[in-house]
Amino acid sequence: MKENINLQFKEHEGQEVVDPKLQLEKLGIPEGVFPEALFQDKEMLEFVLEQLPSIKSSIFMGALAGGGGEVANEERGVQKKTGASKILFKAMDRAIYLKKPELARRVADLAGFNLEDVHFDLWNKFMMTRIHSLGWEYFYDVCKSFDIKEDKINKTIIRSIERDLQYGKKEVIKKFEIYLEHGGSRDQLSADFQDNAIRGLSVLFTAGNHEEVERWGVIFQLSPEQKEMARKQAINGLIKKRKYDKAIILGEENLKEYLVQQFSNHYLSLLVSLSWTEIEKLEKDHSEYISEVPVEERKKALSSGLGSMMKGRGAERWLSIEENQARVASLPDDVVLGGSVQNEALQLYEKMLVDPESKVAIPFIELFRLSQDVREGHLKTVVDRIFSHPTLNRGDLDKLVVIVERYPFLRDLIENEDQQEKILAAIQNSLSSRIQCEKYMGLLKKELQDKLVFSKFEQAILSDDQREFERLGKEFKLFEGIDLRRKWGELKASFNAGFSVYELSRYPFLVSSLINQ
Amino acid sequence: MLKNFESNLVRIDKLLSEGEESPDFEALFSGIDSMCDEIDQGVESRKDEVETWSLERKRKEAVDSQDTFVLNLLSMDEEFTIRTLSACNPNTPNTSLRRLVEGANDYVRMVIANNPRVSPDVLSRIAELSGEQEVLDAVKNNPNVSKVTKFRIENKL
Repeated sequence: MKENINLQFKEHEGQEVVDPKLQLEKLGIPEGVFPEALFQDKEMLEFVLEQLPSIKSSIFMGALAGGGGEVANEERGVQKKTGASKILFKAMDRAIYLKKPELARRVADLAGFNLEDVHFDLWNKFMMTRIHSLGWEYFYDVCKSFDIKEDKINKTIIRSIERDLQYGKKEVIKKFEIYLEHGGSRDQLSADFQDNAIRGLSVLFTAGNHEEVERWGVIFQLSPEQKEMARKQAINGLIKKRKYDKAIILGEENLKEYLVQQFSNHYLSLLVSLSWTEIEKLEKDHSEYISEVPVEERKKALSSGLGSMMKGRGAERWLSIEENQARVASLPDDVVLGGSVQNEALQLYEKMLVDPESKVAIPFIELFRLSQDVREGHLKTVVDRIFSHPTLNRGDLDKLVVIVERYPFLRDLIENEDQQEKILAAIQNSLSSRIQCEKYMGLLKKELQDKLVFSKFEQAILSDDQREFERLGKEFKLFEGIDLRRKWGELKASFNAGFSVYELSRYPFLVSSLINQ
Repeated sequence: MLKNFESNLVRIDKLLSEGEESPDFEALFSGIDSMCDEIDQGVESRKDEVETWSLERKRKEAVDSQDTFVLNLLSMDEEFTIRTLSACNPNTPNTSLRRLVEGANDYVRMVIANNPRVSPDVLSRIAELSGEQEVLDAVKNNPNVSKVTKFRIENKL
């Protein structure tokens, strides 16, 4: 589309002159969208069309589209006109930028822009960003050529100044002086102006630009309290950015108390976020500013940090770092043994139990000083919770496997008849792979294990699945002395004669062709 | 159960010795009689108990039991699988196996020939009764087989 936009309407030797209206129509801009007068003023038409490619495609495309979908024709027409209007406004701005104020004025007149009133905000937005690059004299000239009144010009300048103030830009002082030179008054400044000046001053404080700080204070007539506020903002920002030395330089003379307060708050937030390197740095280098933090507050913050860390997704990874483990281990007992931390620790511990990748499950127990009583108590709760469901799923079985493997003395927790039946059903129903089956077999009593294994063999015979039977034989090391491929028929016959798989496996000579006699 | 019988028999021996030396024969022999009745009753009630076992229980005992009394009873069970399974059990007495051989088909004879504790004479009897190669192979391969029986099988005598 963009290639098409770059239209050449200029007459070239030997070339046919193309009707611009026809070309615009091809681009989807119907006749009547641009004012007729545009087509009468050749210079202006050429300029507008030449600028089309440099006008942001979004504006241009919006103008072309003129709405879509269910938008009524009439409304679509209005939107197209609005789009055309935006294009003309942009063209006017481009003309100003290219220092063609007269052409810009003609475009504005053609489009019927009322820059003093309905179009002022748009004008303001464009011009505000242009002031610096255009140069002040030219800016004022343009404004005058557009008959913009002084108060409106000043409004644009004030907005521009306020924006620069916030970021502490040095140029703003020059802007402000020019503003005052052109009759601007301090009375016209908005309520936000002072706040922005304070914010800007804090930026200068942060940058350590003390010369500018002085000038800034004078020019924007900031009171000593406002200057102190800016300094505090700067201190606060520097501490948060962990530029402690700079913050101390700013506050050591008059704001020592404030420094202590901010350092203490920052220290507590570091404890909550468990930022060990920073914590250690503060404790080592700036202990005088954090010495007033009460021990209890410190413990509370650490406890809260550990609690939230263990709730988070990255807890395992965090804990798997040896350095972190060592730090947690070295904390005083009462920091890590807070009730909520212990609960979170137990939840995480339970999660880690079933994660074969987890490298921290065992150190974790020591780390959080989870006593055997506490762990056993929790595991009993876990087992009760698992069996409170009508059926067990894979996750439940995994947990049980870990519990039994790690804590054989807890095996009797899962040995009552109902529980055993639930486990058997879960293994039979949901696990097709024999490897998985074997993994969970240990959860069952010996007789149920046999029942499970032999029922699988019987199932294979009943469904005449010789391959499955052979695989089972290899897996569970049964029928090893029998060539199942050759004696499959005899095996089935012996089974049909009434011998169970268990009996046949116990006495393989029962599998014989003589059974058919 | 077996232990109980044995201890009673020891007591009977003791009573007989005492009787020979004692002037009061009648009282002693009446003691022996009542003791024998007690043994008979014990055997009968045990037999009744085994007969009332479920099929499942009988199969389990036939495979796993070490009680020769029970295994002997199971070797006479009306159910083919129970009889055959008891013939597999190394604890089944040879007298039971010998009796079983006589009325059995070649399959059961082959099973008995595979029993690791079957006696050489039972193996010899099996070789006499059966012409089936699989049965004869089982007899020949049993470590308890006598050299004579083995020779006869190998030479088809």
